[in-house]
Amino acid sequence: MQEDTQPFQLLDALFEPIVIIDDKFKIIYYNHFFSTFTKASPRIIRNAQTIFKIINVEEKILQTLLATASANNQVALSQEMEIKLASDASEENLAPDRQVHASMKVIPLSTTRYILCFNVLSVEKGLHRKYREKLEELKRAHGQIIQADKLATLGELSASIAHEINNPLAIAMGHGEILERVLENETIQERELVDNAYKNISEALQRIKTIVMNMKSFAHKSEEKKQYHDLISIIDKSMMLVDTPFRAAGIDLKFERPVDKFITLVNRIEMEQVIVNLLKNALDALREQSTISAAHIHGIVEIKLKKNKQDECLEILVIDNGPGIPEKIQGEIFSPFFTTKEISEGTGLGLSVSSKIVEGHHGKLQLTKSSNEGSIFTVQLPLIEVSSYVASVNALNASNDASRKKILVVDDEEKILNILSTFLEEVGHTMIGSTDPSEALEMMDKLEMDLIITDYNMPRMNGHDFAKNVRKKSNSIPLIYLTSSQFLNHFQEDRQKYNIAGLILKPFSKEDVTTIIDGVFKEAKKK
Amino acid sequence: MKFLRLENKFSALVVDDEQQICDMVKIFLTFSGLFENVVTANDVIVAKQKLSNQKFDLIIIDNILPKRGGLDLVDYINNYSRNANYQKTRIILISGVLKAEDVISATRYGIKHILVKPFTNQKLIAAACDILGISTPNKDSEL
Ligand SMILES: Nc1ncnc2c1ncn2[C@@H]1O[C@H](COP(=O)(O)OP(=O)(O)OP(=O)(O)O)[C@@H](O)[C@H]1O
Ligand SMILES: [Mg+2]
Repeated sequence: MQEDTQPFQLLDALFEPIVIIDDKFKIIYYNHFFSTFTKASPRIIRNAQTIFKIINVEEKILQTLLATASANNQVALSQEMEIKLASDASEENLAPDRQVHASMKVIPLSTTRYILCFNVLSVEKGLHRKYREKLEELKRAHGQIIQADKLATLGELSASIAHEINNPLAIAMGHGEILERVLENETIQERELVDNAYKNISEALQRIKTIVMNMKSFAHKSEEKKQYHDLISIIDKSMMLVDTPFRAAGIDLKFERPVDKFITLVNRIEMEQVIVNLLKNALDALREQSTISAAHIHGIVEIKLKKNKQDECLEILVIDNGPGIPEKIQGEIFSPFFTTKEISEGTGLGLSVSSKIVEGHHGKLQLTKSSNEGSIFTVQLPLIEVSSYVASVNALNASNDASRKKILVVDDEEKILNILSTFLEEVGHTMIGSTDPSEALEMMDKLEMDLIITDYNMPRMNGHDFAKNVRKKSNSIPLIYLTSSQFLNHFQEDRQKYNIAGLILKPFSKEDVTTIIDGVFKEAKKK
Repeated sequence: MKFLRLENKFSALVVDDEQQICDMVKIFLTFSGLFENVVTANDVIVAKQKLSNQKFDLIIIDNILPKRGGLDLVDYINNYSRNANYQKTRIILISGVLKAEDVISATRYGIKHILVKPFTNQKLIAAACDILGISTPNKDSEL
């Protein structure tokens, strides 16, 4: 029998998948949107024995819905559920089963005719999920922002407060000292009271000084973890860390390793972070370029390491042949949270964190070139001698013990420098490290030191020649050789000639070092 | 030579924008018994005036001076003493904070001695003696 479906044609105008079924689940009519929704062709729908051939829901569920609707003669609504849209493998439909998130609505027309609508929630659900993810991301980024901002502000604040306090503190401590001296030789009635008062004042001032020192070291909290490291090995490690993404993107990463070591006083982890940040930025820039530029440019990132004689510093250059940085944003790239990347790809903290780290090393991070042929970022770090001198003067300043000495150690092995610096610091001295005898000689002219310890066997200039040059500059500064027993004869030869005060034999213990140094200082005092 | 100098005693110029720091350094120096004529100045202009009036054995300069930095003054002094054919002026830099760039620029100007505030009398005198090439007086004679 041919049923009149004329009245149902109205349903075609609706943008909702709607199907009319009878109580045996046979399809009587369906609207356009239903076939779009099910992706089933009209032929398949027409040939389907029941609706379950098209839509894969449990028969029981639909049965209950129809029963409820007809019993109350009103609309029945299902819960939200996952509905499989059956794909009939025997037909041309080769697509895998699709699944949608939807609820069903049944409107009874008669005891044998029902309207079945689908309220598809997949899109909403997808949007909602995406929204929640983005929200989480935003929350995380916001947390980072606050944290980074707090730290930065606190660091800057404490550095400037420390500076402001140091002047009045110097006045108070200095004048306190003057008072003490004057009163020392006076006959005062309330001697005990005055002495006690002075003691309390100077202790309090000393406490303030300690607090300020701690504040400063908070601002540069990397200070404590600085050690002597070869920049070459730091660069190698950083390159290893980004090796996989560079390979995946087909971008070359080059580093022409210098012959000489580049030992400096740095916090290794932090320096690696700086280099990785710069490499990642270059990678991002080159990746982006490859997606937009028509002329295919093969991406190359190069690291160069060199000594800048003129500025008396070491330089790490990260060079890329990317698109460069537009002039109008060049001033902003170092600000926290400035990014041109998608929210999931960049937080905009890379460069600001990196430049903070480099500043903590008394250096500078700059964009030194940027054109449409690429960018160069340059990290400048002070020479080992300068950074260790600054660390040493700051350490000496922190204590009032005037017997602490500044000791220049010349050795081209970072391990020896690290061990000696630990030993010397433990007994209260400070060390200025140098890896290059000629640089050490220049340092003698520039800065004031109390003792020199030199390795004997060094590549450019051996201990003998170094001692000769030291003696040209100063007759009085004590000089100690640091060597293995195979060079013992040199010590014996030079001992008289260059007035070598002592010998530390490798390998050495802390006691060896301190005994020899103490002896030398005692001897020097006598003279 | 050394004794002769000690009888005449050394002269010094102290430049700091805080008068109380100047006073303090002045007292430290005179207490040591090594210095007699200690002049103070609060800015670069006054310092230059004082420099044109007399010659100093030692100049102590604050790293941060108003308007122009302390190192500007150091540069001026170096040129001045070179032109006037004086011996190289001996300078101690005093500073509220110590940064690598300060050390680098200070060493460029030939300054070996940098004291970070707050410093003690003992440290100042030790630096002064080192720069003047005399041995540190023992504590008793400092008063
Ligand atoms: N080598 C480069 N070439 C082109 N643009 C760059 C380069 N390095 C940095 N930039 C630009 O500077 C912006 C800031 O860089 P920064 O490293 O601070 O943040 P980011 O890379 O966007 O995010 P994050 O490093 O936190 O993941 C970048 O978004 C990019 O626009
Ligand atoms: Mg980045």
